[in-house]
Amino acid sequence: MIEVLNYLIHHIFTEQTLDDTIIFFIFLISLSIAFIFLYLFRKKKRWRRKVFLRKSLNNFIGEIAICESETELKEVFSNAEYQRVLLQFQQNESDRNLLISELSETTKKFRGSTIENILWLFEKMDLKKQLLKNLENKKWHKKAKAIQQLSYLQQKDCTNIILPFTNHENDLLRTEAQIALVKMTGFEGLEFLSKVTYPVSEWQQLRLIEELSSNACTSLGNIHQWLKSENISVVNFALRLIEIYQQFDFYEEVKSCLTHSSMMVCNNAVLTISNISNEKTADLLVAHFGDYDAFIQIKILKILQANGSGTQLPFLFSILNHPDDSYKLEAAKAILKISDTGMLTIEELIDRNSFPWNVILPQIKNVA
Amino acid sequence: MKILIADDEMIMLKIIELRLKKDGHEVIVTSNGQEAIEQIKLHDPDMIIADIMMPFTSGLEIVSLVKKGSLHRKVPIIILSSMGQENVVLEAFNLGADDYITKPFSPNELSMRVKRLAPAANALAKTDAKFS
Amino acid sequence: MNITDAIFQFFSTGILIYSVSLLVFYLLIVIYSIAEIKLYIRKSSFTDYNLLASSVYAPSVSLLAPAYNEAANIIENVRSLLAVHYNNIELIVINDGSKDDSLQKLIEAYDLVKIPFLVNEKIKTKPIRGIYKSRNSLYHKLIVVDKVNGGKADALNTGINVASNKYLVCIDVDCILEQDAMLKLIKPFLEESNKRVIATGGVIRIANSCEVVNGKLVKVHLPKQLLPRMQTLEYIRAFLLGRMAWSRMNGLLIISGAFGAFDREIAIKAGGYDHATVGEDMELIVRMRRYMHENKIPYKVSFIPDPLCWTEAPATYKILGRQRNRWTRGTIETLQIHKKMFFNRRFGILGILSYPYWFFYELLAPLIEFFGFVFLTIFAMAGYISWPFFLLLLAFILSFGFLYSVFAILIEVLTFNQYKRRTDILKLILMAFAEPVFFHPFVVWSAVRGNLDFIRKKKSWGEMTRQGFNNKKK
Repeated sequence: MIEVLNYLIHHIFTEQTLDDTIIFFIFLISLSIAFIFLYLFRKKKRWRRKVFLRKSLNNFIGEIAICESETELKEVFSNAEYQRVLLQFQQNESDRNLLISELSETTKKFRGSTIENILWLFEKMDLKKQLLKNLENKKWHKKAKAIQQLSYLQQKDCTNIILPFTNHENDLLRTEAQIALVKMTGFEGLEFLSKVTYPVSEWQQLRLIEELSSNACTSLGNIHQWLKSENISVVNFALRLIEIYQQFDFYEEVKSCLTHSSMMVCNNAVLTISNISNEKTADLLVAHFGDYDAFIQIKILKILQANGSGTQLPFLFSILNHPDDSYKLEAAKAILKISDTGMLTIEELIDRNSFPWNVILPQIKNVA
Repeated sequence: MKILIADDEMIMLKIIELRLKKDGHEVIVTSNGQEAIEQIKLHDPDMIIADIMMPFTSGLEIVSLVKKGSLHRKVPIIILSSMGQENVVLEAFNLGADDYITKPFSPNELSMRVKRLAPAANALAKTDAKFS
Repeated sequence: MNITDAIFQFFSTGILIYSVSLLVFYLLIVIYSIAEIKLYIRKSSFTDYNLLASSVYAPSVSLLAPAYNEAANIIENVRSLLAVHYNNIELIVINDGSKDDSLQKLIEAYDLVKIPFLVNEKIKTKPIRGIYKSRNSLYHKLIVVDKVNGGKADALNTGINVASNKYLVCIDVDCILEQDAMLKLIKPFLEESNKRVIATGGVIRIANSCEVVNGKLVKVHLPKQLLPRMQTLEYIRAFLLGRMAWSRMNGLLIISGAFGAFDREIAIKAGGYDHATVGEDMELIVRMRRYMHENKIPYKVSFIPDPLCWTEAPATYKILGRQRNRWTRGTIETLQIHKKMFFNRRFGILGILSYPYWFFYELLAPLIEFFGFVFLTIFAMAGYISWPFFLLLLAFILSFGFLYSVFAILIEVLTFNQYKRRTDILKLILMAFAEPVFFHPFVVWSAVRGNLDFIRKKKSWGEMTRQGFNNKKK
């Protein structure tokens, strides 16, 4: 052991090796610092080009944006000065990509005829070729950017090129393709749900729902299929859609989801059914009460506050003895909402001066 | 009408400027809060359209200064911002903003809203003239 | 071979082996981190956070902000927290028995009135004196809890009890949040389909000398004062390099106490914050992870390299010393509480890699540095090693430190690039070289004192006097 240490010290960790290592470090440090400043320089250069493009085309894009007719558009576009400026930015790929980026960014900021004008400009500038070329790029993030830009620029004829990506193994490509289709074709864009095998994360669902919210709910025709999907996330998403768009037609299917094999689906089904409820829903939820997570059980009690009726009163009174105080609170609130004499009955059953009732009673009276 | 616009995005300023000019208004363009304040003092606009998130001074502060503070003028102010959350909108109206438009927006819609507030601007100008 | 020779050889080889293994580890971390951060930034650029944060469909979050003797700034701080860009949020401010008039100020400023409110005491805490809500609908998201003083951990536990949403975000009341911070912090919870995300944390940045208007960060500046500037570099190293890599391996042991999100159910099941330690933020994460391991539930602790939260860093040696002292004691206490995990395969990466790393390279490092330096100097003075060799050794360690710092700055420039001016980057690089003189020895010394204090069992949350944020650029 001592020999090994000895050897190490005298042959490896010698002054010479230390010397060399230090010089190596200094070399790396200098290299890194040089790289830092080189990178910053390049970045500044790229940024300057972008600012120059913006300045040069600001007037042009601005005038196009506010045109009110096709003749006006043609007039502005054919302006010789603008044509000259435009030409200098169509010479190389990097500039063309800046142009595409500028146009798609502009569509994000406005609504109405401005967007139509920008789309017109995009067609006229013949940039679609470049965009489709970007889609073929080996780097997945460049592909994804192209998909996103296609959707901003409403290139609806590209939907069948984008569709296969909706089940791609790369999750950025997959999610962007899904969003792009929904952005361009609204509810019809959800057709991928029938085929997608990868989970649709809650985050992705949020993005899709936000994207859909600007469209009127047209066709949720395939929901039957989605509710029976093997992909649990698709079932959950379908339930959310039914909940948000209050699709009463699917009541029975949602009802069967209340006893699904996946706990998450059951929980979501409760939330959904409360939004499309009828007179039988409250009893249904009470019947299955014990099957659910604590979180959902509290939710059910809250639902009864809004949808409850006399038939649930015996159940609610039994909850007043639940060991968890939150249950007591919610049940009491529900009783109060349902029955005019509820308060009196509660006070008969419990000791209003002991905890937790000495807090619960004033609280529910306060809100009522 | 003389309208002052304040926004830190070039394309935003350009499109609003061109739209309002097309409607026949005179437009003063500023790209940050400080510039906006200076130009308000200098040119006395008939209407102000301002974004909230800007360098130096926020649009909300401008509302506050114009409606109640040191820049006191009877000028309608439209806030044009990407911040749509409730507390910001409420604060803007609390401070005295006359309208609140969220981005993304339609320039044509803006044009309409400007027209809508214009009689108020003219009336205020008339009452000011009456009392001076 | 006499005893002194043997001891000398043992120490110097030991130090060398230690530093070489540290070097190798650091290099691996650098490579790992760069890849991961680039991936995150690329993905992030595709999402419009602004839009989603105002969505009514986004999950509900309870924001917990414990406060103790913050009367000077409390109204402003609460105002900036209420302005957080997120729709479905409830802000719970916990007044931990402040001796000043914090509560009174809040009641007046926000039109608060005491209301009957049932608190389900899932975690035992000191008693609550009252719960307040505002009569003004503008502040309907605000709940103020007034309780008997019990320390930060106890205050947070009370907040957990009062909260009603699935996700908790614990925040220091004077933190400045980025516009999209809340949504970005919650995002990891929603992205995993196969594992349960139990906690997420982001990057904390130094707000000294930055321009803050109406509770929002308007312009980023490199801190003017020396110590905060040094800490800027330190934070970049720690966050961008260290935590990113650990998160990748799912071995992250710590999430900053200044701004972190938790799954409420798991936090409660794990028992809430432990008020017996000053490092309660780290300790809770370790305990929550342990809970998931022991119950064999697949889980993840996520880290987001985005700078989400800006906070004020100590600007004087005195306060910095106290802070570092406290951090050291917190680390020791946490490691001690969970010593069962040391090289214990039952806890996966946590036991085999994370815990040992924290023990050897975070806990022992300052001690080894300190004693290593002392012994080497003694040996040099006694003539066992030549002065040139001693200096060479020192140069070796120093140059490695510089390299690591420069790598960190490189990553910062390649990724988020918060400090855009070239002069600022130059100043940061200068800091890397100045650190071994002005900063590092002090930090090491504070850590050593932390160890001593731990042994002497001092416990306190500590006072940190606030300088208040720069509201206008001078």
